[in-house]
Amino acid sequence: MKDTAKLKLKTSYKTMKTLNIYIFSILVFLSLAANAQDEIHLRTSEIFDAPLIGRNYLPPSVGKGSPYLYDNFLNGYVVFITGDTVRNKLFKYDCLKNDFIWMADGKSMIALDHNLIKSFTLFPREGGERIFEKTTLKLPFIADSLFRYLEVLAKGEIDLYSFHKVEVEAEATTGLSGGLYQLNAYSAKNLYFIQLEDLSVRQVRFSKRSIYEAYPEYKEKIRKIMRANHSGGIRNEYQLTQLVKLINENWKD
Amino acid sequence: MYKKFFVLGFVLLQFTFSLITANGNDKQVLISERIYLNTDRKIYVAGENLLFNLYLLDINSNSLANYPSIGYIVVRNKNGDVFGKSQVKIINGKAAGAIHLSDTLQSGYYHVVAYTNFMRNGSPDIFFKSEILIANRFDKDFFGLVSGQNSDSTSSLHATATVSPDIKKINIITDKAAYSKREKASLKINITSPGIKLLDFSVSIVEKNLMEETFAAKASLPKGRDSKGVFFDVSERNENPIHMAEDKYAEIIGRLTDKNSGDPVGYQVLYLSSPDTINNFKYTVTNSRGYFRFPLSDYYNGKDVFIKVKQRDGESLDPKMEIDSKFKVEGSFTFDPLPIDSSVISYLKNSQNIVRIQKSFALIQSAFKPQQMTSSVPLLFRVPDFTVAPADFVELKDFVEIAREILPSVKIRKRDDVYYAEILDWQKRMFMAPKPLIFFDGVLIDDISQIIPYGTKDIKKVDVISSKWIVDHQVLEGVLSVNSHNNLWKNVTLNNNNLRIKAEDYYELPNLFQPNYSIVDVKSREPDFRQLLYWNPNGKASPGNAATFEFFTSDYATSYLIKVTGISDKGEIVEGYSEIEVKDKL
Repeated sequence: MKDTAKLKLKTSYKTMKTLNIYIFSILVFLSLAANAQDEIHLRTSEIFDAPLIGRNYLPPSVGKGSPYLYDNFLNGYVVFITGDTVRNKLFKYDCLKNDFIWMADGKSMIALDHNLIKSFTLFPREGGERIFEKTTLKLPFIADSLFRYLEVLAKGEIDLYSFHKVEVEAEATTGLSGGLYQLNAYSAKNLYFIQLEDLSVRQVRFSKRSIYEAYPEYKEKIRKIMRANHSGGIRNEYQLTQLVKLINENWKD
Repeated sequence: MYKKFFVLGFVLLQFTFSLITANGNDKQVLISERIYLNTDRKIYVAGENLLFNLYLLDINSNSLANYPSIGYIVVRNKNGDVFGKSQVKIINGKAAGAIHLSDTLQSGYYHVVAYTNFMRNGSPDIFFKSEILIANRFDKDFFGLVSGQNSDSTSSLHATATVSPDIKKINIITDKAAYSKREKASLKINITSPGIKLLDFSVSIVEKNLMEETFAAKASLPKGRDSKGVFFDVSERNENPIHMAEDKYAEIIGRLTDKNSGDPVGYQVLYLSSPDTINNFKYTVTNSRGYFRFPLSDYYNGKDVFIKVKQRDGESLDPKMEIDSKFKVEGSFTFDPLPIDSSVISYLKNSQNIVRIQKSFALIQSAFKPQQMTSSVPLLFRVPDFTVAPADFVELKDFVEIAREILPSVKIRKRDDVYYAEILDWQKRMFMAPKPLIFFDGVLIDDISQIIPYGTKDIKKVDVISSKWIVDHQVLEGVLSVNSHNNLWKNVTLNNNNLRIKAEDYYELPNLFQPNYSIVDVKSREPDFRQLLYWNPNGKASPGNAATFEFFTSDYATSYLIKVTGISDKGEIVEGYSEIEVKDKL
């Protein structure tokens, strides 16, 4: 009995010792954290941000599919034509209306004035960044002459852009009460364009041929780079991007 | 067991203490900026220009500051009254400028004080100060300057005029020791002190006098870390606003109070605008103590700036806005005037005559040209929803007719002899509240009544933003921007919700009369009695790369002191002196 009691006491001392170590560590950590000074901003570049300016955003009606690049608001930054940058805000891109939206106050959505914007970047949750530039490039087969935001996939001798086109179709559907009403169906379709130097923009597809035939005067050079670097086939955006980057890296050789 | 409890208790105590001290009650920030300024001379005649260059040092790294900033320089008398001022852009830790010394300045000692906005958080003790002597051109005697020392003090002055051990010398070589009048001279500056990799300096060649020699011996290093006033309190206890380091923007700080009660007005919105053909807009909100600040980019340099209080609905605030002046230096400085002997008096009288001649030949530029700086306009909008040029239509006599006939989204109503403007929100298809933002030639006006009398002949363009326009969290009930042909904003009287101030400008260095006598022209027939033969604030030298300068001597035959003063890459003051003679005949 005495041995059992002794054993119990030893065990409780060990447990107590371990517990004390844990408590000690936590308290030291917390005291260091509490002692850390809040960051103090003492430069005008740190305290004055360019304002975010625009109008109330009117979202398109809910339907099948989505008009947005990402349905959720993401962290990102915007660069204005003045060169000012505003960071660490929540943004979203409406591909249908070509609106860049800021979440203000957690509830108001503001479509930023595109006349003041030069580019914006979103940080998807899966990592990486997606950069969009405002451009008035004349895209082939696209009839309008409005500005648009194009995603920049590669920059160099050849620039590669993606145009996130969203088409909407009205579909008739039956509601719960049996009535017929209209529901929008949004379908996203990415189009890809390249621009070599200051030449006109050309549309490309997931094929090597579409790239080297885009600019006949550079066809042989581009083919040579592709052959020399054993570039494989193109089946998706990633491979298309990698191929254009490869061409840019080897252009001067 | 007791030991464990003791340790635990100690840690708990430390944690609690940390919590108490870390909640904003004890935050001190070091002011690591110091300025070292050098003037071309120490004695001036009122009506001349004081030329200077300055260095902004970071005492943490003991080197020139690697971020841009703005330097403020004032010339003040013993009573603290400011008689000259300048602001300069500091790039890579260096800047140069000039201050015109008004013809009406009284003879006496003055202080040249230099600082940055950030340094204003500390005591004025850390500002750079140096003394100069200014003589009025029309004074016949200088009894007020003589401080009772006899001429025997001159020898003691020379004895004490030794260079401080902190100041290292450099090697100055001229091609000759003596020159004739209007002869070309050259000088070379070598670094001889060990350990200096780079030297930034100014060169001044000035008529030798006792004051130049004696001031040189008294040059001092900027104050170090343990000098008083170098820390300031950034905790909540400090009720005064913090002066920011102006790396990207200058800032305006002000305070809004109720004129009747004197109480600070917190959380009030203020707008800032400036006359221009383009719309421009900034806003801010006062803090709980009524303080506000606006960033001022180079766009505002030299412009009139209007700050308007946005009255809340139903509010009848009688506002008072006070703007912090950056050129106001608190406290007086103790002077350490040097005794003046007969040689200095003689020098002053001679200088008066020379300046008189230079003035009559317009060789001293008194008005400086503003620097042209490119900066983007802080636009409220770039492309309006509607824009109309009234001249494209039949003549309309006033703005009521203009709105009715050619501005479809603007409605002007009159109630009790007061006009109101309403703008259509095209998104909601209804008119918004009758309080849009109205700009007249870039200036935010109080209400539409102020531009009703103007018709087609007066108004060049009308821009409309026809929806709620959101700026951060400010919601504007539409925007109306009207531009006139002849700056008619000047005719508008704004109410007491508005304050008008002038943003300071940056000026180019004045043209220095440094003739080139290798070219024979009309100028070569003018008298040249320069006492300042050469000034260059942008010298640079490194070991093995000497700096060379060339200049022409004047008609004034006397001894000249060559002063080279600068800062090394280690943040140390480096000085060197030499002499040349200009003779009537060699």
